[in-house]
Amino acid sequence: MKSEKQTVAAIEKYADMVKRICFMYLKDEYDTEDIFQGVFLKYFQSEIEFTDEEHEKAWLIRVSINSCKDLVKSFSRRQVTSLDDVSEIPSEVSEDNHEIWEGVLSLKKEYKDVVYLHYYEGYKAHEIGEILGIKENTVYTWLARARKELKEKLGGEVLE
Amino acid sequence: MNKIKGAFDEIKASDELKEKTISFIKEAAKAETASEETKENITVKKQSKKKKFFAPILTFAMACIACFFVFNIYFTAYSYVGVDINPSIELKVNRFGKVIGSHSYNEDGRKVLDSLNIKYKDYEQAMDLIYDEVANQGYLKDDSYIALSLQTDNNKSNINIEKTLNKCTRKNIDKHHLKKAEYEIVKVSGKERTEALNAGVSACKYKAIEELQKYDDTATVDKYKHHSMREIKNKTKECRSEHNRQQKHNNKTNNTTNKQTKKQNKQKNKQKNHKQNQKGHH
Repeated sequence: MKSEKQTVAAIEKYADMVKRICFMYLKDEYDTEDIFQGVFLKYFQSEIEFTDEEHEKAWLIRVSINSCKDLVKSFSRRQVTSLDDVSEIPSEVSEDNHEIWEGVLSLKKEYKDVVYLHYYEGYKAHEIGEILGIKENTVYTWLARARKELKEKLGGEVLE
Repeated sequence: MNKIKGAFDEIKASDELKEKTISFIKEAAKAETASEETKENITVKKQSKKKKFFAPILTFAMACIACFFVFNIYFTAYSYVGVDINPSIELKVNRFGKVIGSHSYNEDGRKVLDSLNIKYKDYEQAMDLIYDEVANQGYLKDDSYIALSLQTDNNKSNINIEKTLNKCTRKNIDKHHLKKAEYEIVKVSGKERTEALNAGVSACKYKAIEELQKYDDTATVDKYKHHSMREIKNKTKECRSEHNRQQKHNNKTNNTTNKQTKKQNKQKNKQKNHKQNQKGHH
């Protein structure tokens, strides 16, 4: 188990990253808060010894994505309309970026993950494959499809 | 920088979210320490080796016992969640977070429960359904006071259930646009819950009436059992203000009386000294 001090340091360091991942999957602030706290609770309770910062970051990304996906799955099991289905863009997004977020949020969940990890976090395909537990070729395929969809919706300049 | 990076950059965790999470982790750390201390106190008995003469019968018997045990665990109450607005309801929840029973403390509560099928559902889902039905039946008002009670003997579960109830209630307050609604979650012990049960009211109402009794001697459980939580809270506020005002007035009066007494004593002493002096002269 990690110490309280280590966990607080992780929160300070990775809060924005975890929030961004939750934002891609959940637009309900209460669910976001729930998942956000759950991720850092798992961090606190985990016995894993991270080899370096990159290892720690990749672990947090994986746990955040899986936690969000589990919650979204539970919506469909309980036959509750997932707020993920609601196409409202939250108020924290500025007007200029509304269109971009509409484009990104409308992607399939697998494409959202690779777009975020590649275009924002700067991971390469083989690194994304390791984080998500998929083959490198699959990452390339998903990235290509995501790029195509985004180009159609938003134009080519968005990814330059 | 690509525009997607710019769009993602906008999303940041608020200080409030970080602080809430840090507090949550600190509570979890405390609960973890408490549960470790409990584990150290449990002694493990070594089991003696058993002879394997009746292996098949034993296996069957063990399987029956296991089924009975699992069945028992599933249907054993692990925590009690009460909600009192005016419909006054309590849910019996097992260790898996499933509702295994429910109870209404008043007619309004009974009407709500009769319209719902919440048995074996997750308690969070059951709470969502209860809030919706309470709203449908017109009990949820803009300024409703929602009192929730939680009784469980496990510290760790307490934190998780409280967090879920917080989230669920805030979500439903927003959903039903209750601008002036307030809520509280009260943790009660088994003893307090039993006292409330014996008095025929929910644990949260019992605690609210106890609070009122500090400022109003005439308040009784029977008098207020059919009042809404909002009515009880408003009455408490009113009586507390009156009580504080009365105390201030009494303090002021005591100060004035003390001053007058001191003045009188001073005058008496002066007169005494004057008489003594006169005697001395003669």
